[in-house]
Parts: sequence; C-alpha cells; structure tokens
Amino acid sequence: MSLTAVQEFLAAYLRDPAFRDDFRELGTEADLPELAGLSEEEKRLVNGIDLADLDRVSNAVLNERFERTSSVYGLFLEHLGRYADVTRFYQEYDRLHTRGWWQRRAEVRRFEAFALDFVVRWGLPDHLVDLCRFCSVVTTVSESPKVSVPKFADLPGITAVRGNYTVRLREPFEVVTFRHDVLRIVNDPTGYGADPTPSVTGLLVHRDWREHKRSRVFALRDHPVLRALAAGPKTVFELAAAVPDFSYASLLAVVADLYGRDVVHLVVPREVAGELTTGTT
Amino acid sequence: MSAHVADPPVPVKPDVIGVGFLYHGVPEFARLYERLVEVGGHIDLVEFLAAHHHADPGHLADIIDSLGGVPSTLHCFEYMIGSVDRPAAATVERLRRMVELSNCRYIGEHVGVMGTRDRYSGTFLQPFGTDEQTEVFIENLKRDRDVAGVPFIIENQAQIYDQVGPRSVCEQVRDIAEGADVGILLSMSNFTVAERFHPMDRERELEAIPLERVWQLHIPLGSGAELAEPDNGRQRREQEWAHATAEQLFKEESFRPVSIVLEVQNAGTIALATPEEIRDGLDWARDLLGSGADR
Repeated sequence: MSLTAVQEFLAAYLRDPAFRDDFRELGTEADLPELAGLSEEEKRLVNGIDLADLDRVSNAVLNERFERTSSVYGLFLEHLGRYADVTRFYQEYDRLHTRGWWQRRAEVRRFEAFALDFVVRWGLPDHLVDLCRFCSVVTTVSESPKVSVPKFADLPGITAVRGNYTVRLREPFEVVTFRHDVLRIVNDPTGYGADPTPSVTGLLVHRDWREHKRSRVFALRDHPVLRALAAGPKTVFELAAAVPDFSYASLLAVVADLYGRDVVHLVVPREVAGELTTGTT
Repeated sequence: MSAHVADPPVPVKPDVIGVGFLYHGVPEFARLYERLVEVGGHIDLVEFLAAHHHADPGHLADIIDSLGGVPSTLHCFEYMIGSVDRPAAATVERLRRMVELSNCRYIGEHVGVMGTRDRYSGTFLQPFGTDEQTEVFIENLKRDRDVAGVPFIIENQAQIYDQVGPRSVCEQVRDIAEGADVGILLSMSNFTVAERFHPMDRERELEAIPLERVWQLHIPLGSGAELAEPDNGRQRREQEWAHATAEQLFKEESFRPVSIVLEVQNAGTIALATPEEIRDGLDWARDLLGSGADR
C-alpha cells in the first residue's frame, strides 16, 4: 500500500538530515528509496507541503530527543562539555540513528556505544566513558521492575535477625566495575582533573524499593557485607565467614539495618516459616 | 482499499466518571498527590501515559493503590492507529497488561502518524486528510478494539503543516470517530501547540467536532506563578482561552463528556501547578461536569 511510502517519507524527512538535504534539492523525483513507493497523486500532495513547516517540526523532534537523552545522561554531558562541543556530539549521534523508536533501553544501548566511539575518536579523557556507563546502569536498574519476593521471605513474624536466616539482596541490582572512581567524580565534579589516574572501582547499583525510578549506589570496597551478598544469598552464619572482620553483633546490626531499609530480604528456614506467618515464635 | 473488517460490538459511552490529572510516572507526582490530599483536593480518575510504564507495567497497580483505587485512562500512541504498519505483538500484550493492572476504563489514542514500525517519526505527525488515510484509522480502530480490552477514544492533534487532502485536522477526527464509532478526547492544549508550527482556525475546527461524541477533555493547568511572569503572557492567554472555551462548550446541549483531565504541567512551563491550584482546578472542572449532567 503506497500510504506506507507517505508515512515513510514524513518520518524520513523529520529524522534524517541527509534525506532532508537531498529532498530539498531534488524533490519527489530524487532517486531515494523512501520516495520509491509514492504514487503520482501522493507526490502531488507531498509537493504541496511547505517544507519550512516540516523543518520546524524536525527541529522540535531533535530537541525532544535531546531532552530525553539529557534526562538520562545529564551528568555525562556536563563533563563532556569541558572537552568537546556537546551540540556537535549530540547531532552526530542523532545522524547516526535516524530510524529506530526511542524505547529507553534501545536509546541507552545506542548512546553508550556512540559515546565510547566519540571519546576514542577524539582522544578525550577516558573517565567520560565510565560516566556514560554509570548513567546507563543507574537508569536501567531504576526503571526495571521489582523482582517478586521469594518464598518464606520477610514474614510478618520476623522480629530479629537470626543466624540461619538467608540474607538476599532485593532485586533488581547490578554490580558494575569501572576504570575510574566514578563516585568520586560524581561527588566532586570540579576537583576531578583532566587526566585522572584510573582507580578501578566496583559499584552495586540497587533499585530503591521505596521510591519508583530511583536507585542507590554503594561502593563495594566500603560495604563488605553488600559485596559478599552481591555474589549470592547467604545465611548470616555464611556471611560471618565471608566478612570475618565483623563481630557477630556488628554483622547482625548491619543486616538489620539493610533489612529495615528494604535493601535485603530475610528468608527464614522452611522448618520454622509456619510459626512466623502469624507472628508466633 | 483495505479488506473490510467485520464490525465488532460498539462501545457504550460510560456514565460520568469525574475529573483528575495526567500523572507522570515519576516520584514527584506521588508527592504531589499526597500534598493535594493534604489541602483537601481529591480526584475521581487518573490518566497515565503508556510510554512511561513500558519498562515496569506492574508499577501501575502500585500507583492505583496509592490513589485509592480510582479508575484510570491510558493515553498512548503505541497502537499506531494511523499507521499502515501494525505494532509488534509484544507491544500490544504489554498495553493489555497495563489496562488490566490500572483499572483502566478507556484508552486515549492519537489521531497522528508515528511513522512505520521500522522508522519512528519522533512525534505525533498530522496525517494526510485523505480518504485512504482516514480509512486506515477506521479499520485499525475496529480491528484493535477486540484486543485492547477497553474502548478507544481518539484525540485531535496539533496542525503542523498546510491541510493535505479534503479534511482538516478536526474534520478527520469527526470522520474517524463516526466511521469507527468511537468517542473523542478533545484536547484544548493541542490548539496551543499548533501555534508553534501552523496556527489553526480554532472556531472552524471546533465546529467540526461532533460534540456528543466527546468523552474526555484535556485542559491545561500550569503554575500560576510562572504564567504570571511577563515573558509567559502568550501561555497565560492560551490557558485562559482553553478554560473559557471549555465553559462555553458546556453550554451546548449535546456536550456531555464523562471526564476532564487537567494537564498540570503546562507545555513550556517548568513548574507544576501547586496543590492548591490543582485542587481548585479540579473543583472547577467538577462543577463543569456537573453542569452537563444536570441537563
């Protein structure tokens, strides 16, 4: 059906600067794939459109995409702006991706790949790549649905942390390793120099269960209990072996705090689960 | 011409549902609602943008719980009702799930062209006002009515270029609504949006709308403080026009919408309307709806 060609033409004109340039020069007789299906009547209708109107819309579309991108990558773009022309960066990105829909995950994957290419191509400081990845992972974790509570977890009868309870990080979360100390850059943006020394850093990005579309970020070197849990669920007894520097008293307090903040589930042994469903211990 | 699609049962316009606002899927709106309740405001329904919830449709159920279980309407473009291409099955399934989880009463789709499945236009494009394009809308709505789970209503879009074909923007909305037997979401805001691209003859366009088919109104309600700033004079006048026009429409015998949704972050402003402004706006809208029901 040739109406598809009309819709293809309109989308191409709005999204593809190269197509716009060719069309302005050659019109509907240009040898462009997007025009191949247009009937003579449709060409007549297309030629009746004032291209200045479409140009205004294409500009609005470009700005809309930039605003959406900035809502994810504002931190990265702020730092990029110290070394490169952000407008030029963004226009290159938009020219490279002129077709697809703007689902969040798809845009994230396109953008982070382009950012690395741009940094390498122009010899920019490589901590910019880590900042871009940081923005990507915080967004994807924050917008991922909560994973359902495991069986025998968080029962109403739980009044204290016990040694044989399994401690399990609430999901979703991701453990990500960076070449640079990203949290230091985030917390001290002006102090991070133009040629910072890499300092490999592992972060736990954890979906906040209390606030929609938010995450908390923990530096694993500062949170040994979380580091141990990121490797998999563990009973408190097993955690004690994984973090031997913690006394049992300290460990129980840390786990209780994490539980109270909805960072972890407490999964009770099946043998006593029945006693805890109603608060009887 | 496409193959004829057998006509499914025609949806019946519901009884009056009430008034509410467009709820963006960010924590700020949860806090806004809490503050609205604190100052004595309440909503009868809520509108969601489907685009905000694709990654986590389950959260819609949490929001509805937090709002006291009110009914909702889903505002989307993902059914691509103007496109020859059809949406992916996974997209339709996700939309159905959103409807189920959100106490949804009807879906507000856009009389716009989004591009093809392979090539997104980036916005709600004004469709050609031709017979062929109009027929595509009608057939898609008839077909998708069976899978959506709730009725569709269709929203008038902003004009962005000269009329193409025999129908103006609102004449096409009329013909689609009558051809597919669906309701209309009358957007006052989209007349304002058109000012940035191709101003519309608003009086002529509104006269083309079959008022008895209007189920819902979209009315802007921006931050009063921002609208009062000297640089925002045009936006302030536009909001005044939208409110005055809504009041005028409610004097028409045939105009009996079932809902009014306030867009509390006016296009172009940064600040949300305050909880007090929203409370008062909801009360005003509720009085309008009541004035229609009293006839």
